Amino acid sequence: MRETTQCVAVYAVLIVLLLLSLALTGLALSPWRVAGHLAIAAIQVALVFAVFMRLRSAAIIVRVMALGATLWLMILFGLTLLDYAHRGIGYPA
Amino acid sequence: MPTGTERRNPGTAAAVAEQFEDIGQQRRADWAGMWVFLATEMLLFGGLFAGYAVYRVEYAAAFAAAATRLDLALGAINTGLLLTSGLAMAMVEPAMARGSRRAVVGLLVAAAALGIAFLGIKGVEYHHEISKSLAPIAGLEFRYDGPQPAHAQMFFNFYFAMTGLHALHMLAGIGAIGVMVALTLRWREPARLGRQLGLVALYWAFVDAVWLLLFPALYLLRG
Repeated sequence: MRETTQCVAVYAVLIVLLLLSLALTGLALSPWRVAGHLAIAAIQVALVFAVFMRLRSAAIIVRVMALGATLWLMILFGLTLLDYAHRGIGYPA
Repeated sequence: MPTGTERRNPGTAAAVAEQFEDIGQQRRADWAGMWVFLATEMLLFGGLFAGYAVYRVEYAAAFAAAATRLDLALGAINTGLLLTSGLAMAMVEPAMARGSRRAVVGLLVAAAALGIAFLGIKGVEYHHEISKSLAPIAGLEFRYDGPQPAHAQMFFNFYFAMTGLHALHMLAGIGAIGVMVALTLRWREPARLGRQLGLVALYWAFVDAVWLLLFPALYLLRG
């Protein structure tokens, strides 16, 4: 029963975060607001991974696979955005 | 001829697959393998997200303006539906542990029904966008009266590609849930059924997580 209660609690938090993110759209668009939206999304995904996908209680090998997936995704994003961030410095666009 | 597994775990030959020492190892292998698959999915969507991120930075104003043409209310409702669906799916494993066939079937049906509702609303959104000529897909005409129409068209390309790919994944997930409903009703080999349900639940939660990133990226970064 405890596990079910935890799931419902996390669900409630996810809904609150959704409403918070929706409320943010009332503000003018700025880097802070973008960061806010992305941060809320990251927390929501982390909660889904940890609780709904039971990574919190999973075996080490399972957690390593999930971590590896995330790391490779960060490499994809990091190197791609790093490249584009440095275009225009000394090179033709 | 008893296998290595049978010798170590007498009487469990049917339950534990040949190549595993015990059921715990088999379960860990199941989940690790599922995550390898999910890793490929993360990189599949990741590629689209990375492309979107580059254009979002490059054409910031045009994308922010184009995003206002999406239906925020329907998108928010859809997010709520998927979160509820995810909750239903997450509660399947505890229900299975209790051995409650009825609860498992009910939760699976609820998860699938909410998923179908999500797809229905998505279809309504697509219909709106197509009828307003905001869908540069399948050779349809794209007419945009805001700033920088060529850049806005890129936004809508990403919107349809990303939500379309997600919708395909939802369809596959709903299909898988349907199969699990049928297997659960039969209730043969509950232990095996429980393992299969755990893996389907993983996939469904993942599709949910992708939407939790899609929604802010496409709908919320509006200005």
